Amino acid sequence: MDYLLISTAVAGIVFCLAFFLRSKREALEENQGIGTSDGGLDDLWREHAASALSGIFSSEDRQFILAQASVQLTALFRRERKRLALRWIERQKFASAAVMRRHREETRSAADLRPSSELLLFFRYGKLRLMFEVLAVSVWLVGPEGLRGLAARAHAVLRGIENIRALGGSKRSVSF
Amino acid sequence: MNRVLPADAWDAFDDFRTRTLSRIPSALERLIYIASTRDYNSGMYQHEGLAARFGLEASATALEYAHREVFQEVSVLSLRRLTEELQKYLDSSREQPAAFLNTWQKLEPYRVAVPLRADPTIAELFVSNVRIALSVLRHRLPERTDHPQGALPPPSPDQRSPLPFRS
Repeated sequence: MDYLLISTAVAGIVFCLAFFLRSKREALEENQGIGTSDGGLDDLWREHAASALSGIFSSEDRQFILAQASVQLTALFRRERKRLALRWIERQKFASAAVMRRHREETRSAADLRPSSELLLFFRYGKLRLMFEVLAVSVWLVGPEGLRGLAARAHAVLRGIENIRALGGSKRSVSF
Repeated sequence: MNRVLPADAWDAFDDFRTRTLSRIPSALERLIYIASTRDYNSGMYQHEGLAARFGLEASATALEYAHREVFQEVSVLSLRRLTEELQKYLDSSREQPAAFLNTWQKLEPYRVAVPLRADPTIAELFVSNVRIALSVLRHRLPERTDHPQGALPPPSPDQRSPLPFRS
């Protein structure tokens, strides 16, 4: 009995790891082109990207599907939304890592580095990554329903970190 | 004045919006119409009437901008609204509902309605939502077998598209 439980747990962990690694690799592959924006329409797309969050974590859509009273439709909806939410989380994680990478490059040769700001940024980034991990596990376990608030908070923290680029690296204080 | 488009492209966009898009009642139909002006191979937008008045480049830029605008409008529609839009499009196509749904679910032609530079999350959300909306319509299909559209004779080729001709 114990052997069976341990085997099931190990298989579950391996399955979860494989899923997350696959999802991460896909996000990495498709995001390799990010950062090559030529402004104009590309910037407009980025501005609109936040609205995807509302759609993916929408409870209104869930109510609509439940009202159809179809097990198959509900299963399809849950599967699709879970997939979209996990992909969105992976993209956000990739975007946050890219921002930090750029920030490191910009501050490497900075003479006026402010340790307090850098420390604050480090903790904010750690908190953001933790939020995304919690979000990913929650979505994996129960689906994106009811997690809109946490997703919106994580997205807002990421936008705050992205502002670092506009603030000019280490020369200004880091604010969120 | 628009902050993104050059003046001539903005004029072309304004003209296209006023004279063509305003005649198409449904957002989904507008999206499919604009996507149909894009060359599948080159990705360039072509509209003879618009190009004749504003030039090839300005008209292509205007169409790309219009595509982005309409796509954004459709991609954030709730599932309820999108299903309604799809139902309207299905009705206006004058195809048999079952045949229409078969084709759309198997070939997924709506994928070509995604702009080339669309945000990947929004593009995925759009494709996913259309997929779910099609399943909702499929689920409702047995209740709609007595729908008047189903009794229509096969349309002649010029009746197939409810969309305005490119001028």
